Amino acid sequence: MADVVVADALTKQFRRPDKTPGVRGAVRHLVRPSFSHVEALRGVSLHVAEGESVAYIGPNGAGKSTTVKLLTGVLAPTSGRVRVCGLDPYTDRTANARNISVVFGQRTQLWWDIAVLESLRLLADIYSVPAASYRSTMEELVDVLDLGPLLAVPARQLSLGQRMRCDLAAALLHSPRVFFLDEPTIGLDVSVKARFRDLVGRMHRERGLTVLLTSHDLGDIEQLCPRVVVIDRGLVAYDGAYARLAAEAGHRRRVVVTLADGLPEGSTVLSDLFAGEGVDVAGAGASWTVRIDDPATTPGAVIARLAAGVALADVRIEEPSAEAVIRQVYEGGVPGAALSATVEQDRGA
Amino acid sequence: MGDPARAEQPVRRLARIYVRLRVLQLRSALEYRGDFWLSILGAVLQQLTGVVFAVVLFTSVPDVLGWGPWEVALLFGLVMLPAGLVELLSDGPWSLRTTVNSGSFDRVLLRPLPPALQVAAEHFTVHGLGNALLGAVLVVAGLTGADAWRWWTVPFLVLTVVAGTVLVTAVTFLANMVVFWEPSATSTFPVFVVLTRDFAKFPLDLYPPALQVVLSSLPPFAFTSCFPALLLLDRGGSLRWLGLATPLVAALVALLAAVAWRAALRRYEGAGH
Amino acid sequence: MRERGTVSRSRPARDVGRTRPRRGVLAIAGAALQQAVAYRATTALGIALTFVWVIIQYYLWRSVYAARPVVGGFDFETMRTYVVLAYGLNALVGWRIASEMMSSIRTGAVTLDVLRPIDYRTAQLARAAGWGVVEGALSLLVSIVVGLLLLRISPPAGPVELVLFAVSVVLAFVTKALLVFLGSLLMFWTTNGLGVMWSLQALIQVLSGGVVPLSLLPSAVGAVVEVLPFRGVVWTPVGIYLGLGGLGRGVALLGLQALWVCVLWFAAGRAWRRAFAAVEVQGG
Repeated sequence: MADVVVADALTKQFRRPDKTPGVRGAVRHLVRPSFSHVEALRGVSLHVAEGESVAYIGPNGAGKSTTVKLLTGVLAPTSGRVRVCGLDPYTDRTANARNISVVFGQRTQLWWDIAVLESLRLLADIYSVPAASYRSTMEELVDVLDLGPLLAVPARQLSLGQRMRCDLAAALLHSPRVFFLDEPTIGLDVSVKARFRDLVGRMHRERGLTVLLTSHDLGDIEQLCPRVVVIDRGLVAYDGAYARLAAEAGHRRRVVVTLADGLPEGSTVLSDLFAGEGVDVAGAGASWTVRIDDPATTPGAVIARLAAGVALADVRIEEPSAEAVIRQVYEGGVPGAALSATVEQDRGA
Repeated sequence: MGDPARAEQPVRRLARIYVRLRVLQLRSALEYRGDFWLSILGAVLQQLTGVVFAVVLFTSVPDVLGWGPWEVALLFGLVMLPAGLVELLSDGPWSLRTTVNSGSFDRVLLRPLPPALQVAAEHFTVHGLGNALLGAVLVVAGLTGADAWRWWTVPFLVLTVVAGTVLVTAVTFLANMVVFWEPSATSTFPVFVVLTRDFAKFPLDLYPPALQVVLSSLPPFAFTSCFPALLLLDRGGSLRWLGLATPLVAALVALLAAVAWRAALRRYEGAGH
Repeated sequence: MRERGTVSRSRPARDVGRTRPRRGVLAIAGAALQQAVAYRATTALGIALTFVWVIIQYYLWRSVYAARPVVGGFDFETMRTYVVLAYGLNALVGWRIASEMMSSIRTGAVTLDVLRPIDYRTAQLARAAGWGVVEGALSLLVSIVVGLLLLRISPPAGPVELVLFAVSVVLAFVTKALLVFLGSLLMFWTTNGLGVMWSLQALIQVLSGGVVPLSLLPSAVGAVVEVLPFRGVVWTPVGIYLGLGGLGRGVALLGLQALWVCVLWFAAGRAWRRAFAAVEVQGG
């Protein structure tokens, strides 16, 4: 399938004025301005196929928002090439705006004091949605998002969750092909988050929408995006399947055991049980942990080995948490070589 | 894509959407009825302080440099009518400072409408209604009192007021665009620029030559009132013909604003990366 | 509060014996003063902003006086002096103080102020004083300096008048601050601060003599305005400065000004309790 989002070797430099504080500094800057350049992106390439759902993650200041702004035409790249649905988003801003839609968490695009229905009608007019498709899209959105009781209410009277549903409708009314969600679930409570993810997932599947999501919330990513792109300090640090990221880069699964009879720290009694099998054993006294480094080794096998060698009082298996996976990627713990090999594999799949 | 809406004349479509946005905002303003009237009252009272000054002045002296109360009323009206219309029609630039700094200006760039149109229509200042009405009353009263109605007065007035509105809009945009280059700027600079229009409420020959030059150029508010008034009142010698130049000057300032606006959009970097 | 800490630390030791509220008042004023200093660029620009009308009036009166020596009993020099001083006095309590008062009422910071062991009126006046020291004193200074050097205004009528003028300026400040305070109470019923502020500004400007000398008003209107509290903001201090009507009249005017300050003070207290009670009943 054709790629709807194409970004090649994008760089973006921002100019920051160097000012010393105070009036003197301001005057000096006026006479002889000096600037330092901040490189927000240092060569990001990204291809997203039609109908794909991609999470775009990274620590604060990594270049997430900048990338989204370049892809949506808010900013022009310093160098590199962007195409969204075949258009240059910056030079063809208006045409591009009809193909895409952006939802910012916590920022509504509804008009505050008027009924939701009127905001939606106005947006349909702004996006030149033909009457017939307005009717059918509205019917579908009202049904899926359960908007019926909200249409007559002014946006300022909606709860956060209700407003989010209305904002989704506002974003999808002109049937965009690419849907950008920028931190969409910030500030929503757990049940509203779950509902929101459910709705976005449904829209993605039923309307064949291409979704690009930036989020700090791993729940969003786990549920919505099989593919993850990690950006760090202006460069793509990982691009591939989320599951693979978790398996390859994450903390391995760990078996935590409590022994019936304690062992002194540094004892090799347990590690001797696993000679030559990619595991790492650490602990002291009764409490010991076996980290499984080799994906081929199962926790079951480890427990069997342990049980055969020592008396166990308690056994617990720890799965890598999504947070831990991402944190490790941020901290630069991605085993780069192993992963870049898998990138191509995943892209092909 | 061949949807029928696209076939509509682009200008007509934009005009229609602009009107819809305005009507919608008027209705929002009417939601807070008490505030609505209070705004109008406040604006009218504030403008009335200038009027009170002029009235008291002319109860003490018959004229200033040959300008009587009716002639000065016309000047006041010619300043206030376009100012009120601008507040009513395109007061949005005043919120640029907050939208640009908070990054919500992004939204403006994400809609399939010209950014300037969206900014112009961004919010609705009810008190413009008070200013425009008071201005219109003063223009009519001034022309009647000075007995200066002629066959071409009405078309010339319409032209002048429309041009004046364009001029003030362009100046308002220009003054508020500063925020794209100087994000920490306060609203004092644009307020100051726009307030210099108060000079144009009195005859130009009151001021020393240097100030006269400033008022006809940076920003050229004299073209909204002083010069057209000369022509309307049939005075001021050959200087009166500058009154005909108001549309030209307005077009020039609008062009300047358009060029600066393009640069401003290129300059925009958004908030946060 | 951080500001309170810094300010009370910088107070000399003789403050220790004083009652708590007094220290609190100074702390509030001090905090406002620091804020005003922090915003000094804005404050300075704001002063320049209102100077536009001084320039307009100066040139206007210059043309008027070119044709006649006296208007409404004022010669050009007196009128120049009047215009400049009226501007400076009006700026004593500037828009920033009004908007601070209004926003403190609107945002509910008011409830915090109420919790302090200080009378709310006093707290607001103290805050206004903090701002006023920077904003008002600066503009008064600017207008007197610019006035004396560029516009050649007349000096005070005499040394006694100068002293009376100084007292009158302080009373003028309190008068305007209390008027603004009373107007700000409307914020309990409307969210439209701008509308309230503009109406209030316009009213005070015209009735105080900030726009034209009150003696130029038609006699019927003038007679009423002469006894209203508004005159205490501009007309009374400028009259004393210029020595209009002699020393005896000056002292009498000062008495009237002080009387109005007392009346306004009690009115402000009553209105404040009413407004606050009304809002509590509404559950706002």
